[in-house]
Amino acid sequence: MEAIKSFFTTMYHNKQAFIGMLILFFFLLQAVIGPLIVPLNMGTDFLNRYQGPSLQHPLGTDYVGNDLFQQIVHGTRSVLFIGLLASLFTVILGFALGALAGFAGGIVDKIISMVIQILISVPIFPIQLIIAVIFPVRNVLMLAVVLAVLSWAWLARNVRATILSLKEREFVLVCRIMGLPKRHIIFKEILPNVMSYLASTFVLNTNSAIATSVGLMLLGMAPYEPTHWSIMLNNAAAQANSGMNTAGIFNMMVPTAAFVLLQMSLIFFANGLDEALNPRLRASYKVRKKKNQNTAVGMNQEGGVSHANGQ
Amino acid sequence: MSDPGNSRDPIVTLHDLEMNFYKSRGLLKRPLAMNALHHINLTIHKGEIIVVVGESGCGKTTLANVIAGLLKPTGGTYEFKGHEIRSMSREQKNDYHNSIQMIQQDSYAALNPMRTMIKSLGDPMLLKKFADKSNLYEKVREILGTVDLTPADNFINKYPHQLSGGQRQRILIARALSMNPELILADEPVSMIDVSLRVSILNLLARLNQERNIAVLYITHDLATARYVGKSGRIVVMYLGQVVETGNVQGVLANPRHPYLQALLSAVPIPDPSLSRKRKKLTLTGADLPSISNMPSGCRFHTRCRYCKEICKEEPPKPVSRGSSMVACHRVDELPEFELFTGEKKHA
Amino acid sequence: MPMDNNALAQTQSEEPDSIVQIRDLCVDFFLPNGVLRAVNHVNLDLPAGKITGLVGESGSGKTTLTSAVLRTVSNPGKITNGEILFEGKDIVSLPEKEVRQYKWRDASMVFQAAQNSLNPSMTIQEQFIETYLAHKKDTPTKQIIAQADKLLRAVRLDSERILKSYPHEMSGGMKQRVMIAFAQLLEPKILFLDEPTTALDVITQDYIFQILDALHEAKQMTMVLSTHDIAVVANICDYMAVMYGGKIMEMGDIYEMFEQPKHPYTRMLINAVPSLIGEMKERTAIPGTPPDLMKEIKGCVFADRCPLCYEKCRQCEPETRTVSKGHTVACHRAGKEVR
Repeated sequence: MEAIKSFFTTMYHNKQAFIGMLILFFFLLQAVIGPLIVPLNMGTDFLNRYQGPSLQHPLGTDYVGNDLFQQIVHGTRSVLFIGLLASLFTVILGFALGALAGFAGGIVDKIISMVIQILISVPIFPIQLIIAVIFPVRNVLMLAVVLAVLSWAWLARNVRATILSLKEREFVLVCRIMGLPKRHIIFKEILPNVMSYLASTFVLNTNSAIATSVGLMLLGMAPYEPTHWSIMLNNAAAQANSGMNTAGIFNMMVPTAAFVLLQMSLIFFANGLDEALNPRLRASYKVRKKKNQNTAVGMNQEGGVSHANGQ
Repeated sequence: MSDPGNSRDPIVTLHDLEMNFYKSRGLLKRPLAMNALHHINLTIHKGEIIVVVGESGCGKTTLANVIAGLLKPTGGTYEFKGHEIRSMSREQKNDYHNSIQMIQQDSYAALNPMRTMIKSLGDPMLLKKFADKSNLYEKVREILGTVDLTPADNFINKYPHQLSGGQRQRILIARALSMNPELILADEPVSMIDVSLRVSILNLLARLNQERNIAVLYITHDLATARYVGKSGRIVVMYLGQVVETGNVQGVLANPRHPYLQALLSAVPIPDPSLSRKRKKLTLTGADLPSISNMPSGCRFHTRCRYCKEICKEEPPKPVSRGSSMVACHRVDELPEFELFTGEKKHA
Repeated sequence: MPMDNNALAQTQSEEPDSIVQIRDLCVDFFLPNGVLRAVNHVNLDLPAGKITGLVGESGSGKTTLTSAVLRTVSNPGKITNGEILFEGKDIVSLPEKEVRQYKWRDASMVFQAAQNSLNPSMTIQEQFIETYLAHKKDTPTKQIIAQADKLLRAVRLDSERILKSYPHEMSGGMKQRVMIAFAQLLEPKILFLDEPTTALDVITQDYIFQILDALHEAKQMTMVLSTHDIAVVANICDYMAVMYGGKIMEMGDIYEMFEQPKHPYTRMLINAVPSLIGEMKERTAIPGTPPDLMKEIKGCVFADRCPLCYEKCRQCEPETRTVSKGHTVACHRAGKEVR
């Protein structure tokens, strides 16, 4: 409870992260209950094509006269779902393999490190394309697996390196001197120090997973969802002749803005997450709060404490 | 080099201990051996204070790591209470892990940044059954009281970064004490603390030594604090992985015999302007330590020694007894008497 | 005998031979959770041609003070008050262009972490030449190398080898000596040394101080040595200034400071350091912790840790007064015995 409270306190004080969190929350809300509230009407209404924002169409209409706001709302779910799912798979894979390499060492470490090296040095996107061709992607789950299976290498590499350096840190050495059991050292001492990294990586990975999924979708390697933002963007761009048709520019801008907003909020949120999960970084806000409330008491206490200990 | 007059129980006995590190030089070349400790003979008895002095790179921290069990010696024997370390029973191993504790230099790195003090201190006590859930807080408070962190409730739920360097150092001592140790290895425990607070930590260590009969191995490069902590204890002077001089602190510092120790002594700044300007100047032929991967032949100190002769370059000296100390120098009897100051001798 | 500001200024003007005069200087750091006053209304004269030791615990503001004199206070720090007179001209209000001329040419600095101050991808010779040309254009390379050679010899280095080496090929002590030579490249009038030997071994430290002492003898250069190690100051300095909580507590001749320290903090500091010689008496640490400079402190900054503290110390801030020639102290109870 205390931890959750201090998490939100820190988030609240970090304005950037707070804004990111709010936007992200809004997107999540949109993904979960948006389609229930906003109806989707995908017909053809050429009379109303390329309309600007109005009360009836808050974000205007596209090249066949469909409401863009409706499409954005309905597209949120698949965009976020693919991103989060792929990122989750990536983090699980990367963390598991990185931790295994870091803790086990020896031949296990050598093999995993070699695989990591190969994955890092080859371009991933073409391989993802090939995989998508060989194993046709039929649903979102498959897409997430395709996205995750090749992109865990950096994460695993960093997790492994972090664990290797933590293993040599003094506070772990002390546990070894005391002869504390291995499970304590791994789960209580080392892994908590990796968690804040994992959390912010998870959020940032969502970002790159969304970007890659867009690529795959545009090339037709993933199931076609007309309301997915990337498909919207693709269609709008095709119809607007890449901007030659000036009326279509606004149509292009709407999904683009949605992407930018989402990715920005993810990055902001990830930055704040790092701070919120690290007791050292989140400290300063607590101090300020206390100081504002009762400076005198705080000062006396501190003085008393330090006085006693120095003698 | 055990003190013959000392019949107390030995906790740690090192005999001809060797420690080599190997550095890989690629696939085809043989790994490079670097000798960090060479022929170390040392016995630590119950309740004793031993100070280990030397420059960085002399192997003093490696020695502490070997004694703590973090490094496995590559040669010689290491006995804990008479049992060879490699062939101890489960029970003896447990006793070993409890009996020897370490206090590190960097108190911030020595505490898990994600864990509060009650967890850092309490978990080991629970795991090693020094406390159970019902009396954990009570025991932690008691131990914090021992190291003068009172009132304990102000520290129990703090994270390491919320404490000052001096307070963290006391936490480290508290953590070591919680295991009921017989020997505390203190590796430069005050070098990162403000000068104004250093002696309070040193006084605490001395008090624990006296009140609880805990042996202390104090590792430092600072001869002034070595003298302060050591008082009636023993001193071990190390140079490039070897012991060059050992004996009781007062005797060795008042009458240093090895040229290295003499140079070290004359380099220590003295907090008294009039005395420190009468100091004799440093007398080494080179200020820099030779590389550990390219160890000098013969006496390892010969490259910097102004008394160096042919024999020093060829043959490693054997430690010989002079007065109350043991000295490893070929020319120990030929050296001129050491004076810290020019003019009249102001030595206490 | 409290003195007003006028009288203070008078006593200070009696000493004409100060190269740097710091007047009422404040340096603030604007942090996300408040303003930290690292240097708090400091008045200090640095005697010309002498070595002054600036002693203080970490966080006492000594590094900030030196960087203020060098005009290298960087964000979020800012000089918010006062002036720094270097040979009569105010450094604080100096335009950026002239600051560049002032730095290194008039005043230079040797940092604590020498390895970070040298460019790892250039040889020492290249770095010497580059720095020299940045300040004095159109100097023939030969002349610069000759100068560098002379300086490196002065710090007892094998200059021919060193000039062609990269920083990673040298030990910490060698790098620090290169930095000392480097700092003198443009023959500055004042040299600041910030914890120059903290990361080094005793023997190397002593060697470096011998070199500094010899350099000082040869050129009568003004040096300011900031350190937390009072023993080092006793070894080499002519004057000592004690800093605490962003303020100068006491300043005076080194012998007088050690024999008759007036400020309780100075006394306790001297008393807290074990010595290699003399009787083995129990030393006592200064109880408590340094003040939180984010908070407004009423009265004396040292009051919380001072054994002589009484009501007046908590209520009004002690003014700096002169106890003897060149010896100033800021304490209500200066000279009282510490028990």
